Amino acid sequence: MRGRRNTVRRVAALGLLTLAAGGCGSSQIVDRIALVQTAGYDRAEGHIVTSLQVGEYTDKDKTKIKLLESDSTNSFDMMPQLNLETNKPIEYGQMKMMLFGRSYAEHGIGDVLKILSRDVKVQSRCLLAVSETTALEAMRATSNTDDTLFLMNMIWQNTKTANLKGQNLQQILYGYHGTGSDIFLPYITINKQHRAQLGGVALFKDDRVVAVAREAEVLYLKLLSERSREGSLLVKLRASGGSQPYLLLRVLSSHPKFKLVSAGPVPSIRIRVAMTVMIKSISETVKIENEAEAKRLERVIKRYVETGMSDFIAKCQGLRVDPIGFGDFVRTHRRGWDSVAFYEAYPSMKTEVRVSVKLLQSGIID
Amino acid sequence: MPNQQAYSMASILDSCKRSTDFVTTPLSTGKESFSFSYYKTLIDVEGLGHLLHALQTAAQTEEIGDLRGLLAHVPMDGLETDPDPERVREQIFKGCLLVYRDSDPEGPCALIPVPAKKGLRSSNETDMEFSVVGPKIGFIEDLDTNIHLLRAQLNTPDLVLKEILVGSISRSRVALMYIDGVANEENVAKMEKRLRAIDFDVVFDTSQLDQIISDNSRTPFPLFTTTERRDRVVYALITGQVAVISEGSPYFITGPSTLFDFFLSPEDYFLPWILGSFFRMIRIFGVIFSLFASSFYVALMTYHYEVIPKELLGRLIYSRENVPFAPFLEALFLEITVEFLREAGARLPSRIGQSLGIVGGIILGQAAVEASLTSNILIIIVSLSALTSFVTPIYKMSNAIRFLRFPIILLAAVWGSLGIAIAVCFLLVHLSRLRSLGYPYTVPFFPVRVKDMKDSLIRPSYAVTGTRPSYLKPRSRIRYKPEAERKSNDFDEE
Repeated sequence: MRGRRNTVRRVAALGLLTLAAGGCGSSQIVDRIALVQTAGYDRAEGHIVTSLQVGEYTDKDKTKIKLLESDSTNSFDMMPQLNLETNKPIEYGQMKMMLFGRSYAEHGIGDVLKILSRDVKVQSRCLLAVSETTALEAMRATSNTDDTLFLMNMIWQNTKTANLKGQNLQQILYGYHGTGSDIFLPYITINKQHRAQLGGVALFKDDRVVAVAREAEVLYLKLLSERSREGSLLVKLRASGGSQPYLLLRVLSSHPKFKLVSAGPVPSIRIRVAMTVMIKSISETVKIENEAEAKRLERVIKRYVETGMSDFIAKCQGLRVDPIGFGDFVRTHRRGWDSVAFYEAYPSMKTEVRVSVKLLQSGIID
Repeated sequence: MPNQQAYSMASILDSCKRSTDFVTTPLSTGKESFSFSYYKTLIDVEGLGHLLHALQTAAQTEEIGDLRGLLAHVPMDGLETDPDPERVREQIFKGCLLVYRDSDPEGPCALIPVPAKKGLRSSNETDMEFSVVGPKIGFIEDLDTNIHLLRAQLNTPDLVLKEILVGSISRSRVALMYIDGVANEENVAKMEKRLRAIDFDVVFDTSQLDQIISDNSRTPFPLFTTTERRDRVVYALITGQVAVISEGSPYFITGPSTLFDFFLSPEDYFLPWILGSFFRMIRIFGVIFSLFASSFYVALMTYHYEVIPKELLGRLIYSRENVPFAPFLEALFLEITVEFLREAGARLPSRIGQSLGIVGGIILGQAAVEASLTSNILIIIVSLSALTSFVTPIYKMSNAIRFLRFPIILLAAVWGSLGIAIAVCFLLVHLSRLRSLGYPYTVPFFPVRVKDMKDSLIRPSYAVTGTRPSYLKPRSRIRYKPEAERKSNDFDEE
């Protein structure tokens, strides 16, 4: 009898404890919160404008985009400020895109990056990007797309299938906190049709934007910093009378290899890039009818890419930014690497780019 | 099992006499007395009565001195005099009487065929455990018929039957069956001891015995397999389990059982092994889905909106728009509705049951969504998990799974996915502590028995399943020899 009463007590205590502990957890029922999907930071006349895209799912097939904005003096109280404007509490666990206006990014995104490195609620899937106009305008340009993550999807598909090098939040934070490389973020522009588009890559020195890499440079950055299987390149061929001939290439695979020739005081690095490419389309005036002509074309492409890459590296050296991560490369090859000394000598660093191109001749479309 | 050894009459009689349904009727003709031995569950007892009566009358008018004289009075065809022991062993299971003189059991004997009792009633198809492929023979409420059905498939004197009377008022006959030389005597003794120790008034069904003799009554899980299928019981017996059935019940219980016994269906063994394995894995996946689907919905919607994929987010939020309840109450409401439907439908004749399904499933579900009391995604999840709870071939297991969903949903509502993790821990600890007839319930995974894993998650080909599971400690390890079969297939087939 006594034993049974004890069991009852034990079960009751367990039940009460469960309920009590349950009261501590904060529930965030998914349809009773406002889910931030894209956030933006802008700087205007000394104060900071923050803006959010919140999805409203009241229609079966379409998502209504609600754009919120608020003024603040700092970058930290974005959520509480915007919370004053909504009927549901704002939650940012689903935030997958953060956009910085160019003027904001030129003043430094360090504050935000510090928040991101501390806050576990922000997903590592969260992408960062810089907008040529204000972030608010870029977001507004996507408001007729019914997609609160339009910018994120746009960047994502470009890294998956095209020329952009992909980075997740951890990689960006590593680049920011580490000493051997500089960060770069996708650069979003507004075109003449008032649509947002990917306009290049913003190059950072520490936490400030200093330049933008455009067009082929975006691909060169990708090819120089990782093995890749995607990308397309438009090669301008030398005009042989008449109109300018073009050649559109698809990169099937590419593999960069760095070799440290000498570590210093002025470092010298030899870069080899092995590429396999396919011709997607070609101007009619260019003839590839036999092996010799194909070999000749391979040489043309090789020279074109080599020049492009060398120019890009020289541009980075001139700006004293290191998005490719030469610093990290040298550090892994020499003991006692010193970042200050290295970047002191960085503009005069010698690089030699050797590209080997293999032209696959299958499926040429005219 | 000894298959190829020479038999003597005495050894056959001895091995048969281990079963209580092997009986010997004496017949005295004044000068000589004869014995008629037979399995009473295999022959027509009425026909035997007529025969004995005829012989008795004959003995009163005429003196019968020997077996030949006796057989002259048997009004039947197909008598066999002096069969060899091998023939006796075979025919005794086909419904023959064995006649011999009491004074000389080793001497001349004869086999008298008595029309075999028909164990099949007009419809003894399986009701609960239906199958598309394979036999559909199920047991009925008559104990003798059930034993006859088993003996008809297992023609060996090693199939031993022990009858025990259980129930202080009902005095029900309970049959304990096992294959001698396969089942471990320890298991048989344990089961017999538990059955004899039962103090109960009226035994209605074997499933009552199941609960009384089970190792642990504080569990929702069934600890013995309950089945009405003959092939299932036979399979259990040949792997070394013990089977028990009570009078008036169409259900056998077999044990010791493991958790995985409840996920195997006889059909696995009738289909090619690739398909059998696939269906078995579908079943296991279905049960896991059934246990955790609704609780994951509750946990994700209440606490972990972060992990919802972005493609699903809009759909999920839209479906819950305007639903006034928290996900927990929403899920509970729907789960209980499904249980109402099942409970109401369980006792209705099948035609009314159908219309109940339409009312419940279609009208209620549709109306609940339109009145925005629940989200339609949850309706899909709950009906899927109700569906998948029925994929276990044994009804008692699907009951346990449906019951377990509720505490898991409650934990998910209170602690989110942490609650689900706690539920999984509780469940695993509980399962690993369970015993069936003293044997661990989760074998071969805990404790690990690598050799026995081959026929658990998948059903491998017959070439590798020639041995009995070792955790049952069978007396003989080999069930059949797949190698022998393969060798004979080599060249001489053309």
